[in-house]
Amino acid sequence: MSGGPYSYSYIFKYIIIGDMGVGKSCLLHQFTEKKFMADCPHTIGVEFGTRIIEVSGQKIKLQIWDTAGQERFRAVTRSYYRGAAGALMVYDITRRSTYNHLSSWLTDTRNLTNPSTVIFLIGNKCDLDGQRDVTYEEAKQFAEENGLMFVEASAKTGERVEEAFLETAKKIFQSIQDGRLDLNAAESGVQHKPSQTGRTTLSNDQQPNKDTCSC
Amino acid sequence: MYTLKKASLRIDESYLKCKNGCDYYGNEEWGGYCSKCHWERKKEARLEVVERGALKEKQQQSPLGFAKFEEKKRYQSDKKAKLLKVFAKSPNSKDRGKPESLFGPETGEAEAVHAEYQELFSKVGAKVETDIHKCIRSFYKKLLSDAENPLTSIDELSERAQNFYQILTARLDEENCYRGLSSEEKEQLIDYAEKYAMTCLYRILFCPATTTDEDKDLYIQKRIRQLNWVSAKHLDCGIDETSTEVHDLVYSSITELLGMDSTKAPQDKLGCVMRCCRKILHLMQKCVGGPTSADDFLPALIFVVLKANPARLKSNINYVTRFCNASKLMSGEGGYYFTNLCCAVSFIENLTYESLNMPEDEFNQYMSGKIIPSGTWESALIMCEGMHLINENLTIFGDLRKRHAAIMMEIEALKDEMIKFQDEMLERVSDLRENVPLELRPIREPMDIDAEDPAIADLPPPLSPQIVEERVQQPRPRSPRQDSPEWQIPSYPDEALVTVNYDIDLSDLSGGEASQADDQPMHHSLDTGSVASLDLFRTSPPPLPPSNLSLLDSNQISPSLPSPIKPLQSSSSPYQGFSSQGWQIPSIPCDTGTSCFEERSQKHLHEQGQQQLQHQPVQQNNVPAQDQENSLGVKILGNTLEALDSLL
Ligand SMILES: Nc1nc2c(ncn2[C@@H]2O[C@H](COP(=O)(O)OP(=O)(O)OP(=O)(O)O)[C@@H](O)[C@H]2O)c(=O)[nH]1
Ligand SMILES: [Mg+2]
Repeated sequence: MSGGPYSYSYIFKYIIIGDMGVGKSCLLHQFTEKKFMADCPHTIGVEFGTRIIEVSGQKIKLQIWDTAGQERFRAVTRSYYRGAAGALMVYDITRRSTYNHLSSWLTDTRNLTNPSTVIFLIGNKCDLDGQRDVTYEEAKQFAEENGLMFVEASAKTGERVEEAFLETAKKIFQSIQDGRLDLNAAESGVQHKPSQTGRTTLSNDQQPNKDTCSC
Repeated sequence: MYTLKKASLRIDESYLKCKNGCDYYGNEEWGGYCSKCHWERKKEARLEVVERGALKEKQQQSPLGFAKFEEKKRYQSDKKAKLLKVFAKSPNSKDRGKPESLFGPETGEAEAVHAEYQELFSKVGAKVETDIHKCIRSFYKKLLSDAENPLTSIDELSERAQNFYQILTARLDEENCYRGLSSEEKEQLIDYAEKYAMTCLYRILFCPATTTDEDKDLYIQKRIRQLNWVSAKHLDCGIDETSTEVHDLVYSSITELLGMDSTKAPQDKLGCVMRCCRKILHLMQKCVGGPTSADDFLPALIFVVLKANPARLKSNINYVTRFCNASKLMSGEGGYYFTNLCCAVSFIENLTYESLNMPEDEFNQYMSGKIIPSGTWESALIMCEGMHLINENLTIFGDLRKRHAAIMMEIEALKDEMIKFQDEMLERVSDLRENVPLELRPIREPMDIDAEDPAIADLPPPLSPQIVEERVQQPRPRSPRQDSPEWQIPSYPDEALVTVNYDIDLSDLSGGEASQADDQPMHHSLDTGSVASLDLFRTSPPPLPPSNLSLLDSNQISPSLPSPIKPLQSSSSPYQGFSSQGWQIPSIPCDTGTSCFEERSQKHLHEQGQQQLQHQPVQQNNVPAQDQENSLGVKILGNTLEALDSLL
């Protein structure tokens, strides 16, 4: 998948969190494979996926950890918060309870990650607007009050899924350039790899190939 | 075993062993050989030493002992010699600090490892600690610089690490400063070195970008997800998927296996595998109801791996294989379980319809997701989560109930206290009521006497000696009640007698006041009262014109008298004996008397009320808290119902 070693200059670590069945695994699958998994089994512990993206001309490899929403794996999933540069916090717009739990997810995230971690709120399943249980305005206000970025997306149609992942990366990249994020800290969630020019061009060719074939 | 292309559930124990037939466990990474044979083969190839076959090496009894070290040293490449030189040089070097200072971002974790072994170091002494840290540091530096060169393969790094363990083992037997340590302590020191160094090097050595480890991880993750439909029945592993007890055991072994990705030291990862496998054995004993055969173990392990889908499975296995001290993987419990895990993974990779004894069509349909299995496990798992949530919420409820009960008890206590306070208050009030009328009474005395006075002034002295004798006896009871007709009718011009009477009354009063006046504020208000009354008493003995009487007096005595409402008139009357202040006074004792009482009781009430209030905020706070808890309870109940709803 990745075009050999050092075809990218950064690795960003993400986590995806949220209640059981909100569509975390589907979002990840949509982002990495551009496909919707209709019968996705429940995640046990954690799963992971990667994709190389480009921000401001820099190749960045996203290493994304999709955690289980089940309460009983909380002990396992908590160890993945540490060293996450980005956290995607997902709720299901058709199930109010998943929205109500956001504050406890947010508390966990704030407690277990570092202050520079970018938190992005995703209201998933926006294709099911008829069954909507949480209004956009309400969630938007929650996001603003807590300083989170926010979109409503759909893992099924792929709507605004890219946006969520890419905007998070942009924000992280900004923090690096502002010097707010210390690359040398063990838990920053960002690794810098000196890019090798020859190989970078190789992966430049590969990236479009991948995009066209999986659509 | 790894030569087998077809995945089979039942494997012979010998498949787990080295291809060379030696008694150590083999590994796929090592081409099916045990670590020892693998490295020997590699060295042979590189050094083109034909004569020294693996067979001869294998026969050595202590592969990691000094003898082997010596032998290796003889034919070792100069690379090794360099490594040794680093070791030899380091004791002379000046930097004697702890190696932490060198180890970059992982310093915190390295310190934690160091702290974990504090007890060992207090036993073996500072000299040993310094030496072992020197070794670790030189190894760390070397490996770091090697790893920075992208041309160094992971196998070379692995070999370097394994060499480090071996050389360190030899050094512990050789060096003076380690003399006298027990073999157990030496083993712990080697464990420490491994753990410390690997924790610091984890970022570089785990799933390095130079390997395809990550792609393999993604591949097997996807494959296990596809195999989600495989049930315990397919694997014939005797796990009862419907029992809750079994579920819990499967869950806890899954959790152990998942922990592998969160630890850093190879020995800790191995520990996770061991704990997981021990739990599987326990689980199988539960299912079978007796001792289990090793044959059943692998299928059960495969089942757990399939259901756990552990993150970065291949990376973890490769990392342990490469960087865990090989002596641990070749034998013992850890080696056995780890080899089984490798087998399970390779079974999953190579699994076909044949290995599951099912028709090819059905298998393909399952794999492509055309048929969705009636997965008992999947539904059981969700049920489990439901049960788990319910249990968790029940404990929250239990806690809430306890807190609620505590609040209710506090409320009861507060209620009791309030009732007690009320009773006490009432008692005090009635006490005061009993006492205070006494205070009011004396006010009347002057009026009675005043009333007599005008008459006395006009009358000739009415006394005869006989009557005087009777009168002397009269005041003895000293009753404050002067309403008695006996007292009123005769009039006594004798001033001395009247004064005596007043004195007594006064002392009575002040006595009563003093006993009541415990509180400072009360005392004050009473004082003014008594002073006022004193003034009155003093002024009252001289005969007073009727116009100076108080309202009450006039009512009682003679309606014919001019109204006391016009005090100005009366003050302008020829009477001079009364001070200008005096005419105002009569109303004071009356007023102060009652107001004093009121004030006092109010003050008292107020004070106690304040004391009460000091408690109250606490309880007032509790009440909304209880409300909150109730609503929390309702919320949880709602969520539980919702969870149940979603399950249905
Ligand atoms: N209509 C619709 N359904 C979705 C969408 N995203 C996910 N789903 C469905 O929601 C269900 C749960 O999705 P998952 O991705 O497995 O949920 P999860 O958050 O990973 O759940 P856990 O792994 O148990 O924590 C699946 O059946 C999906 O088909 C979406 O955007 N629209
Ligand atoms: Mg999931």
